[in-house]
Amino acid sequence: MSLKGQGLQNWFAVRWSAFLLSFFTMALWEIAVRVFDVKPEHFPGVIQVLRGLWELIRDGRLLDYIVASLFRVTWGYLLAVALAVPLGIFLGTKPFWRRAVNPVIQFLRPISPLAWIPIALLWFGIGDNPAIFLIFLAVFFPMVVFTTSGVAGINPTYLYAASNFGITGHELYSRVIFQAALPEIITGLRITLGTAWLVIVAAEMIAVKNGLGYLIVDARNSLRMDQVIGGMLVIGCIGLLLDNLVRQLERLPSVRWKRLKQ
Amino acid sequence: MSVGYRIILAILIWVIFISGLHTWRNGKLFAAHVLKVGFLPITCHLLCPVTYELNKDIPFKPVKFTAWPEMCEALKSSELDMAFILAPLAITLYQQGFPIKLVMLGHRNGTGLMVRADAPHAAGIDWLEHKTIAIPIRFSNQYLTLLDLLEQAGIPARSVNLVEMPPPDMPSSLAMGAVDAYIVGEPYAAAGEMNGSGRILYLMKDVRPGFISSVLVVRADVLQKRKDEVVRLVRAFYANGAWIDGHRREAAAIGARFYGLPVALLEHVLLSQPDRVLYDDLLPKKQEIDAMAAAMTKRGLLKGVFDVNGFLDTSLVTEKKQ
Repeated sequence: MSLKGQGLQNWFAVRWSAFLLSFFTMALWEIAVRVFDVKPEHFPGVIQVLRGLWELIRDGRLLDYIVASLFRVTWGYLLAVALAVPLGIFLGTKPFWRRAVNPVIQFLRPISPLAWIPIALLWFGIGDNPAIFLIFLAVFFPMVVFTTSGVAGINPTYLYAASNFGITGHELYSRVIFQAALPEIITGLRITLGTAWLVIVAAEMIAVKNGLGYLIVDARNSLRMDQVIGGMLVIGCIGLLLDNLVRQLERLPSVRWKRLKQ
Repeated sequence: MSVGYRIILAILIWVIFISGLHTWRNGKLFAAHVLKVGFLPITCHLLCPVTYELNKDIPFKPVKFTAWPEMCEALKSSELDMAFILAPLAITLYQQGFPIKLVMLGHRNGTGLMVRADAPHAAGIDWLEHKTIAIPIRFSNQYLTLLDLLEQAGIPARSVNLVEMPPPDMPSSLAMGAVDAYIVGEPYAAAGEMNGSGRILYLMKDVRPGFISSVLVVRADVLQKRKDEVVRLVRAFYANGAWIDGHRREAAAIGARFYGLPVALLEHVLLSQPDRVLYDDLLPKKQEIDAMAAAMTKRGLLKGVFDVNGFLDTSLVTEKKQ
């Protein structure tokens, strides 16, 4: 059998076992709820959760909420990346500025974006903007740090080689520095997208009137534990999809070189 | 086309797609120029959904909140024009210099002090000594009244452990034994009663008849600029109080639909005992608000001299139409 065939078989085996494992977990959950006679208001069974989800799908709310959450993450994340990567490259190549700015970034970075909620509400009111602002904060600082350290850690040989070939200015940044730091930037993109998804759910619990985080709080207020858990399942599934998506970036040829070397 | 450009193109298409979809599906939320009224899914704010349902000719936008602090921020940042809000919270906002007017009440009574199902009946309130009791938030009449009831029974406030907790969590916390008692607005007292996690120690109708929980406030600038609209809406709210008292079953159905709560729960609150929640007598007296402010001062929640005359304005309802 060819190598490719084996790879395909392997792929199927992995997917199949993942599917079986989730199926068994859900079956075990349903059985446990029934055997121990757990009250549905404390922890509902799978069937009830799926029924609650179906209700949300049927009246269109689930789609609305998913769209709202993805919209906020998209804007907050892209704005943060668009500003953080250039700033990170600048700081990575200018040791003086790096030393000057670093304390400020390191000071702001550990403050949880959730601590900004009162300020976000006061500045942006209710609606999309405070949530986008919180996502921005959650992504911006780590992304600056990832990019800066990626650029600062470039093997000097590459820079010498570039200067020997007479590469300077704009070309030096786009063809050498950015490319060399790309693996680290992509790692940053992946980690911060996960953080953004964590934060959006928390932010939507307070700052907005729709979205998946709002779904959880609203279901709790309506004493609907089945929809609370249904919401958690949806959040988990979308998080998984997002991670898979960014993982695809790691397979780019300009990123793979570093992994091959290691 | 290089990989980089393809990725950028894909991102651009995604941004346009998701933004378009979001505007289409959720855009309506922030469009209207009608009065926006904040409320929480509790029976004290039932006038809001009921009026929205009955008075289609009076356009306004009810905005549902899930927590008090968030509603305060929305009011402060002018996202809301009016709000149903806990009376002591409204007093605090006013005292902090935020110009609002109290125009009427949400309802009367409608709060219960719940204890664990296994608490001995004979012990009464004395059983609460050295126990953990959940309250919705410090700036609530529930908190002030609880301290008052304890004081009357000779139980010092420091001998109970008070925790602030979102009302929907209270019944299950009581069932799990995380708290021994809680005081809260309906329907969350009834929720604990109906699922068997606790029993009623006191309903406010019995120990504090006429109990005030939430009030309706209007931002002073909105009142000045859009007085006709505000007066019309406030009068509709007031008139619907009488409607609820005459149509409790229908009101419970409307509430259940807007709040996403079981109909049986709201019917239990509204129908089991006629005075468990009352929607008449919605114009507060000056002494009542003054007494509440005094209780807040006593508990360290309010500083300075409170000017009840600048805060309370029931003339929107009582004044003859010009």
